[in-house]
Amino acid sequence: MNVQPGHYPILEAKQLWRTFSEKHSFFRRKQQGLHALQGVDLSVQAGEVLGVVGESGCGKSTLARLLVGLDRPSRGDVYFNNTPIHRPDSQHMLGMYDKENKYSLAKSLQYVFQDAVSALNPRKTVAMSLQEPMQYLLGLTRQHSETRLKQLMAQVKLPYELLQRYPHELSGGQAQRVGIARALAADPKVLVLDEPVSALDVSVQAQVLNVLLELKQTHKLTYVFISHDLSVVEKISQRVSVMYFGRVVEQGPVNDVFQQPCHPYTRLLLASIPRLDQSLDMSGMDSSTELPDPFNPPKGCAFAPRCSRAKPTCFQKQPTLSTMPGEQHTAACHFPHLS
Amino acid sequence: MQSYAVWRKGLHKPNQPAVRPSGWQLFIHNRLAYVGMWVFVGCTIVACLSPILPMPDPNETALAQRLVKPWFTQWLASGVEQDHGGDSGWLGTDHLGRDMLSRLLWGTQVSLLVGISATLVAALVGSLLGLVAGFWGGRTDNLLMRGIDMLMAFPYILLALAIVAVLGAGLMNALLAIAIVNIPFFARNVRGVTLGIARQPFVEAAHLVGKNRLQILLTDVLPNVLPTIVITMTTTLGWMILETAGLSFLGLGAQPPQADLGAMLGEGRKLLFTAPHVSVIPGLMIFILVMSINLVGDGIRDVLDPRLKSGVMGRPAAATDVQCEKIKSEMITAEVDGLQVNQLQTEFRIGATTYQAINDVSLTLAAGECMGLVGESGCGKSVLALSIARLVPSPPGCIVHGEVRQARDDLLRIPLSQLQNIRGNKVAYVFQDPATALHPLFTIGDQLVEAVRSHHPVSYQQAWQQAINWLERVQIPNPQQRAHSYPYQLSGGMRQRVVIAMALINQPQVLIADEPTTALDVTVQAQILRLLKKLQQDTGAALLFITHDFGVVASLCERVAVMYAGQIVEMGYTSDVLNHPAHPYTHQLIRCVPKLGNPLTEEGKLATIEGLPPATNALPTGCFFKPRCPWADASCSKSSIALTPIASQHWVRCGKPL
Repeated sequence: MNVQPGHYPILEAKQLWRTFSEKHSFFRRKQQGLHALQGVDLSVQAGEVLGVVGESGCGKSTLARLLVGLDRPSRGDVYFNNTPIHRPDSQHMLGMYDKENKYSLAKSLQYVFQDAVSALNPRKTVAMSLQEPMQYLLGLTRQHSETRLKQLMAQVKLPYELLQRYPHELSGGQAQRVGIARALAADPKVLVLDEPVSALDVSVQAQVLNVLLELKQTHKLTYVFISHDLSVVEKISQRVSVMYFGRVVEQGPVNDVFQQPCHPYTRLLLASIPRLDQSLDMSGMDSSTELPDPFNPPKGCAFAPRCSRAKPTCFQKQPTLSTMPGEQHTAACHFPHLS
Repeated sequence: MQSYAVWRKGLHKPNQPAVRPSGWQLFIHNRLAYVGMWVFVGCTIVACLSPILPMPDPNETALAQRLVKPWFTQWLASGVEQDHGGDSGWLGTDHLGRDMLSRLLWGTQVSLLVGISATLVAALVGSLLGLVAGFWGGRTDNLLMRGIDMLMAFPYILLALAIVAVLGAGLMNALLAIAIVNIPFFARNVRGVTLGIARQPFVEAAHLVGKNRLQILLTDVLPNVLPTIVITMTTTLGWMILETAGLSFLGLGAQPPQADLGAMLGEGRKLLFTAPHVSVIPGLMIFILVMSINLVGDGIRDVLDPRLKSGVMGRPAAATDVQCEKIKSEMITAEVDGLQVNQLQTEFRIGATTYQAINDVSLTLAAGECMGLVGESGCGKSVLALSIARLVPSPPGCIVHGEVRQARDDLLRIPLSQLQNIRGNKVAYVFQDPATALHPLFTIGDQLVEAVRSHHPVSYQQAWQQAINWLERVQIPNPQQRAHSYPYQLSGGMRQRVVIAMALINQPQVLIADEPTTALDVTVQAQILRLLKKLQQDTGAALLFITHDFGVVASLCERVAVMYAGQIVEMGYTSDVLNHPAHPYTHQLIRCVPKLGNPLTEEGKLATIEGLPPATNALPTGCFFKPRCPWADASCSKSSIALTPIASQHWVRCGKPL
């Protein structure tokens, strides 16, 4: 299937909520839940790379786990090719699926972990780890998977000799490439990558990003690329979603969002990146960096306490994503920067 | 052709990294365990052979030959070896005239059989319960573990007695009782390990490759829990044999006339003074058996789980070993204004391998100056930072050359008491992870007070006032109240502010910050950098700022040193080095950093440095960067290259600087 980018949404999140530990315990009273995601709407077009950026605690990893079905949403659902993947009736941990659905979904939707070394079984060689998806998802036997193994290693630019190694004998960059190879083994359409290069050194990070860029071209892949590093996201994505405190605050094509950021938080993020060509701006824009209490989220805009433009409305009313200048550029702010 | 294929396959093996000793080699390296293994194997073989050895029936009584002493006591008593004959036995006879040697070997066989079977039963049932509880979690876990707790609530010898009382005395029932009593031990151990493993990313990854939970439990979780099960088995086996002996001693295990070590001990107890050999010999056998099993168990544990090895957790020395002569320095009496590191060399010695972490590093840091130290992970920048105040853990770390001058002292050669007075006082550190740098059980105010009072004789009140002042200087809102908070009550950024306050509270002359903002978010990082810069300007301290981020260096430091494989490869003013890098590594590394607004290369790629840094235990001759350098030629590997100036205040370690 040869699709043009932007033709149809392959992966969508509709009003996704996730609240942790809101449960009745035998001895305790009902606990207040931790609101990790508060109504996230996302739509990933086939063939594009959607970058998701945000700082720690903004819910981007929770979002990634919900997208691939490692966790269940409290409300809302994720749609893959317009089919909901979480079914309310199933109590399974990977709640999306009855058996057949699970396999079909895992075949087309895969995940790349942040900590590549611990995402590989320490007692299995690289070859064994890579064979598993072929065996369980494609039904290939050991003999038949041999050619595919070599193909995969070539695709992620690793020498075949590494196939016989154990994870602790790999460097961080090699382990992450094995992680990518495993995700690709069953020939998926969409990869969700959760901070795939954050733990790597810059020179190795560039090697892994190049592998990802090339694979996207050759395999017509769709990526959801989650990262806290704006410059990496800029290099690899076409569109970007900026998250803050469990919500998407700004969304749009990378160039629009990074060059004409409308949300004050996006502007703060961009201004905070230390740059090679300028020394430190000693007049800081924000004085507080404390996030609101996630057990008791504020009624209004979560960024208002840090925002220099905040007015009383901001503390009262939750802003919704509304259209900004530029194509498909939205931001959730009552008083966006529009110049 | 088959053998050719096998041979080819074998050829791939040498590509594996550095030869690791096999488990067996590690095991026999442990002398005690090795001896223990042979003793145990010997005992087992002899015990197994007892049915075919030419010995009298263990249960055959001969009242005429009662309580014959073993031959060696007879020999000791008379000095002459008497005829002890075949039927009186080497080890004498017991109160019924039964041959002791025969009974001992048959008894050992029974004890071993019961001990091993009980261990297997307990391991099988206990591990299964532990695996299921740990992996399934939730209700299942609750139910199973509460059951285990109930088992554990009874004093366990009582429980064993109760079980035997219900089932009736006998060897099989004793075996069952001992197995049941030991199930909780396995279940708890295995559950704990399973719990940790079931939450590892690789188990989540296994879900995503399409395995069901049973497959995951068997192919991913179990292989990782297996070492724990084996360790627990080897350490319990000796205990089980003791317990079997205990029950038999009480008359609840082996029934007469069956020979069993515990039962023999019990029978001999009454004759302890008249015929000590009847009880001492089985007692010694139990001792030898249990001791050898425990030694083997310890050996196996050390091989399978090196972290538990005895002695490994030992505390390192209070200061790094320094094994070198003083450098002949002309400026021996000159006072250094700031910090001066000369030709420093630090090694790690692990087994027979030497890792050269720091290789001939010299740098000078003036008072009030901020110098950046940049490099990728493993380049030795943290080891350099720790070497300055001799904080590298020893063993395995060791400083083999160089000097570190601060004020009038060479920090590598002053006595420990003086060094301890300088640490945290004249030379202070800020580390990467503020969560581990603070003590979780003391309030931040108390920790600041301690930092002051360990170097200055001031009252608690005065120190507290100073602490509050400094919390205010690092811009912690509401410092009076915040001083009473515990570290866990603060956010990461706040904690790092406290750590900075703690480092600066004694007005140090040198502040060493090792990746202080790497664990923080960008917006927080920007604040901490601003704060550090301001405080450094106010206090006039020399700041050595270690980071992997060129952007941070550009925004903060006047000068920068770039490290690669334990050496400084380029050093100079930040603007010179960043805008006109002369060393190929610096040049390539700067190109790799993704910058906002910069497009990809023509092929739609990012610039990279191919390959990996060299291992510090096998450094190449000549330039260390040569294998990855696009400009390298034969001249680069001839001899080691010195750090040479190419412009004023700009040094490069390269034969052909760009």
